[in-house]
Amino acid sequence: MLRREKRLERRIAKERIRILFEMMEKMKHEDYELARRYVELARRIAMKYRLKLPKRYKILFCKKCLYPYVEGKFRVRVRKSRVIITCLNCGFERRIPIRPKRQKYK
Amino acid sequence: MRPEFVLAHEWIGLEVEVVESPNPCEIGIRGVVVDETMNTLRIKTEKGLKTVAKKGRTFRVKFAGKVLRVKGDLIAFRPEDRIKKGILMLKRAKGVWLW
Repeated sequence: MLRREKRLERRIAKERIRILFEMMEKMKHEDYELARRYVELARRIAMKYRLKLPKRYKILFCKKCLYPYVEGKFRVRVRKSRVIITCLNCGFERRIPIRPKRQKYK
Repeated sequence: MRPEFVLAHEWIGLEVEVVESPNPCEIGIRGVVVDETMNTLRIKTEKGLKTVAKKGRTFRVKFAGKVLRVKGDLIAFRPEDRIKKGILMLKRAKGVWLW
């Protein structure tokens, strides 16, 4: 029985995710469907090899319909100390809480 | 990046040319891969998008600064499965050192 090289797999998976998101950034103004396909592939790789998508990639697309956020297709508001990003394709709201940095009180 | 890892790596964005194929019309298709499924590659050429099956074809690829000939049967897996299966295939092959 051959053993899997999980570390090597994860290293390659990380690189592939990076490549896919770079391609998505280029593609999202030319071909919107294809850009969504790249997000889907990147997420599938991340799930299969149990990697976390970094936060800088997570905020690039809608969690529900996986379409990337492009100018005019999303809305950003600040409400009740949260940033609320609304996807205008499917209407999904993503809430990111803003926490003030903790200060030391004397 | 070592050139053997082309079996496990991302093909979207690579420059590809079809070298051998049972279908004579497909020979010479050259362009950039834009999408990939389990059995096909979608190639963006000057004349538009072309869908080429992987099985039975040979591709010439530019990867890691080298030009490689890759048999399509070796990459006929789902794109996310190919990391696992490609590395296992390299381990099974004789004379290839992973490290």
